[in-house]
Amino acid sequence: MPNKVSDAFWSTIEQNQITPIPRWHFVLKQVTLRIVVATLAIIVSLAGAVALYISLNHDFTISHDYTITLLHDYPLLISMLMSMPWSWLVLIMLFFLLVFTVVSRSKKGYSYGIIRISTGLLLATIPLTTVFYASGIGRSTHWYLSENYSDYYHLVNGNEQDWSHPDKGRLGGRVIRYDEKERILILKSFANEFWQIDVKEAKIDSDTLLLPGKYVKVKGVQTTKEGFLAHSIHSRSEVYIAEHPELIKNR
Amino acid sequence: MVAPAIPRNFIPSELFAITVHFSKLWASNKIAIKKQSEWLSDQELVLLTQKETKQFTAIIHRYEKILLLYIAVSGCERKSAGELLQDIFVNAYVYLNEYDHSIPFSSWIYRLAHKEIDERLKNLPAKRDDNESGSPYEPMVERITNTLPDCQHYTLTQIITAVKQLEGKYRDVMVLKYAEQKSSPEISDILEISQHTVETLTLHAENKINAYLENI
Repeated sequence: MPNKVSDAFWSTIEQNQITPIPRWHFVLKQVTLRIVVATLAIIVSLAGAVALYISLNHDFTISHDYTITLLHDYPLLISMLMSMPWSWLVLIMLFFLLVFTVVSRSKKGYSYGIIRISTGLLLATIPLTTVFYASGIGRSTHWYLSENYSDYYHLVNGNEQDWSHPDKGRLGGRVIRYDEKERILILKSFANEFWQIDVKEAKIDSDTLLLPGKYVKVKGVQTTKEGFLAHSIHSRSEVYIAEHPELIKNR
Repeated sequence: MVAPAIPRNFIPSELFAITVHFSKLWASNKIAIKKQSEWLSDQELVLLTQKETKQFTAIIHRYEKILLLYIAVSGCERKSAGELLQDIFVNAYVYLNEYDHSIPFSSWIYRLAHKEIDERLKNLPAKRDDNESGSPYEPMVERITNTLPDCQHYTLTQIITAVKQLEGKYRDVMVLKYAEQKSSPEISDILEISQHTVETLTLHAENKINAYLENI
């Protein structure tokens, strides 16, 4: 019997010219799998940093005046729920599921179990999310996407959306030009519309720069379809000032 | 055409002696290799085979009986067992370089066998040898009876029927635990499920067997 089996085996191997698959093939597969998992973990962390930035950078968390105007529009709970970055949270969940599927289908993935894989994922992504958030990568990603992709702008409900209500006295966007003589500000709003803002009577925060390319938030009254009378002007983010303190001194 | 001249000092008996000598040397070398592979561990044998594929014969010798028994208790038709065994070995040969020693080789080859058997039973469900009973199942039933005291009151056939009526996933863990005497970590490696799942499935399978036997 033993000879029969091995003889039949070798005859099959020789007849069909079967050869073992080379080792590099499996090594490559494993390396690719690890790269995919690492990439997905980075994407999850980046998404987490953006979600964190959107959640923490609503002005009702930093401005008492703003909180009052916002609460005038919606009750607190609804405001908080609306301000949650739901689309990013859904994206994070989807990527988590994807990472989980890839890991559980890896060579030893079956032995880890749901809890171990989830814990591992959290341990890997939380520090990376913190780094991305603290270094401003989360903020930059959100700003870049808001500026360049109108679909993204409509998908999330961040601070930009809160400041896109000129009819309610809140307008935000990027400074295109500032005429110091006439005290007129040309602004491209977060919703990609151009506005002419009269800043003659406006109170401008000391840390706010009216320089082309900088982002500002304006409180005031809408006067015409594209005209706005500013009461006060604030910078979009304190982080920017922290990064460029010399600009405040020069002002 | 002139035939080559035979040297004067050529003696046919010498040629015969040389042939016999080399044949003995070749045979003794083959035996030495065979003996060497017999006392090598699985891991060492695989390492050797990964370098020298002809050593796969030793793997076949080591696992053919074990796997044939596994095929038999897994419910495959006896007639197709040889063909199935061949397919398992061919697969093991093709994927030999995938084996990386992180799990025991026996678990790895059982995993391939399990997949092949599963595939065969899925494609040809009619070929499941459900009427077969007797020898391959006896050791398994004996171990089940020793572990589950409630089963002691039932006959061999009744217990075999109780195991056979189990759903595939329960039956797999029962066969591996009681017929193949595999531990939970080994079953986890073979079936590619977590150890916790193995333990849960085993517990459910044992309960299902008890419940089935009580209703007889």
